[in-house]
Amino acid sequence: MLKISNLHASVEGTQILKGISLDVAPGEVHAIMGPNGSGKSTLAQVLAGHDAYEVDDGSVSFLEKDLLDMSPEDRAREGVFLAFQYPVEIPGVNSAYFLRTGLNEILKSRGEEEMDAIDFLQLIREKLKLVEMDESFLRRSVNEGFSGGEKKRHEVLQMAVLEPRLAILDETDSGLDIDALKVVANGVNELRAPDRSTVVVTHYQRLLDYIVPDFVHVLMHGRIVRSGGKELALKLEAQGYDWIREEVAGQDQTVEA
Amino acid sequence: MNPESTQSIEHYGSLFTAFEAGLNGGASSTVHTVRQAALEALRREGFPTRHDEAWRHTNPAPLSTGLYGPTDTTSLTTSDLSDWSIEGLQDGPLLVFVNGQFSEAHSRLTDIPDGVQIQRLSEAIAGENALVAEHLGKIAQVEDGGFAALNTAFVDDGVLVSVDPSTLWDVPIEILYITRPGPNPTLVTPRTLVVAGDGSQVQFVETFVTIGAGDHLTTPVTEIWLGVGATVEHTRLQIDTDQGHHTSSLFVREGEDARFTSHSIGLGGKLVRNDVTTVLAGERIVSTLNGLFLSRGQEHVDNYTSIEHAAPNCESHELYKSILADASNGVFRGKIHVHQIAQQTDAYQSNQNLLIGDDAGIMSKPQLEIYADDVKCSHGSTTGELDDEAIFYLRARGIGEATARGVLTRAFADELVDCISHEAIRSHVDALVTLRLEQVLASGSES
Repeated sequence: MLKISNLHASVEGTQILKGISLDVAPGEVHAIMGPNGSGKSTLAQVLAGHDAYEVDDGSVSFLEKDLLDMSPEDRAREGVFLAFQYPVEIPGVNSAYFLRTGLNEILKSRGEEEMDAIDFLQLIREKLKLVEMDESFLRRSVNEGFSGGEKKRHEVLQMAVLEPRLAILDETDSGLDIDALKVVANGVNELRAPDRSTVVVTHYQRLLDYIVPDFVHVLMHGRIVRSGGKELALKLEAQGYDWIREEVAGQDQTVEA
Repeated sequence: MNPESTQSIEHYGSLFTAFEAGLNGGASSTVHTVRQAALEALRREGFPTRHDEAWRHTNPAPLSTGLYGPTDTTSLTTSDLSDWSIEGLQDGPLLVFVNGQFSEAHSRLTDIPDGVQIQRLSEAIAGENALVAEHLGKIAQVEDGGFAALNTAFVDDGVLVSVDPSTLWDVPIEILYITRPGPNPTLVTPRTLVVAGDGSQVQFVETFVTIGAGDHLTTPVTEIWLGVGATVEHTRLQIDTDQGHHTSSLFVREGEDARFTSHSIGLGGKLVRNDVTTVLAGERIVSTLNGLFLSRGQEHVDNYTSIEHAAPNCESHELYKSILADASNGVFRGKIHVHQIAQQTDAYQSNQNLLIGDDAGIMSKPQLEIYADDVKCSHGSTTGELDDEAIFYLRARGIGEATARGVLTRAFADELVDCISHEAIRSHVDALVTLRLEQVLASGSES
């Protein structure tokens, strides 16, 4: 489904991603872990098409198409969804209008019928239950005055409405208490399907107790330095990143020598 | 005296002589002295120049040196009327003027309740209405000359609204001032006087629109007097052409416990200047000034507001926003003058500007003069482009870039449209803003 090969990316001339390769097959959940500054969020933003990041080398294909060649909106229409680490506040645009506009642009791009306000309301009511949100959210300006937990739930709500083929969750667990974490994880799990894939970017193992990954990758200094099963996340939780850091440093020295 | 406008002031002086001669004895009315004094002020003080502080960022020469005069053109089609009158207010009063001439055929003055008087100003003047003697030209400040004095010198027709004490009326009064330029540079001087008695409530809409091509100067004056505890909501809509010169003056005097709200919506014109002066003359007044301006091309729009806190315990709220495309220019100057006596004043001013054209610009200047020591006054001014992160967020949800820009620009404007309390007026303004935004965004994307 998603195939990242040797991806190099920089921001304002500073290289952040230094050769990432990753294959995500349909139905799989991949966790990308790593210490702060390792490039996790950059990877998420590059996949969504943020133009602050320059792709210097490598390729990304999504469902056999060149993802890097597409505008952010075309990526979303193809089924890529990024749950933002820092969802943006949009004063004056209410959540219902925002969601319906996005959904309809996606439906339109696929040649499907757009949804009227009544059908949309039915759909959104179902989805609100999933993330345990009140209908009054729909009338509020997007993310404006939302608490940290509300913003993250709102991201999952959007994901539930847009039903992406590839969901990228960027630190969706940060700032959440355990109850909110369960709600968010439950929302993500509800969407799991054989033809949908998920990439979970996280600093902590905690979220992975609830969204159980098939693969865990450790990102450090812009490279994937370890890959394994879910037990790798547990080891990181118990021992931290230092042991990997040391191993990687050892390898680098070997290379340099 | 400004030598630039010597010729135009002479020109208006001779127009004045002809005008008074044509008034058929009206020259002897109490208003005669008001006109005469205004003309004298104009002769004495002249028109402003760019050396005046209040006109530093707008060159008044096109307004002050032109030799504008009245025109006989008064034609109006029903489609013109349906374009600019407000759907949803068909059951309320409507007064239509074309180039200052009252259009009886298109106006409606039925079903006006007891306690509310709506009269043509010319009739009120001829009938020696006491309110005219008491207020006309008294709320306005014309002793410094300028465009308000020009308007006042030629006061003839227009609208007088008076609401008796304790009369509450929730049907908006609609006034449509149409400028239809004639073959020569056309002068139109609309005049409205609203007197809201103690404890009364009224709302009204003034639309100033130009239909057709031609050089012109529309220079309206609106005076509003609010008695103790009176509530007035005023909406002014101004739509002009790329040959349109528009310079308006709104003067408000508010009594104790009054509630005044003004919405000023500007949707185009070559050179537009709007002055708002409100005097908070009693305690516990809440006064709100809202403004929304959408400009494109080479348009220049200058808003000057002056809020005089002349009594303690009053609140004023001001929010002015501009959206500027292409090479259009804006000026905002917001003066808040808190007199020494005006303790416990709570004044808030915000000016927000969205530049969507590479060559667009705005000069934003708050001017706070505070002479009382126990007050809460704040102001803020922001100017910028659309938030890139917000655009990306919308695009990441499948919304195309042009739509995303449209949605965000619209949201910026909507904050002010949503402030209009009457639904029919709000949807009318909403529709006009939508149309205008389409033009503004289309021209913005070409540049």
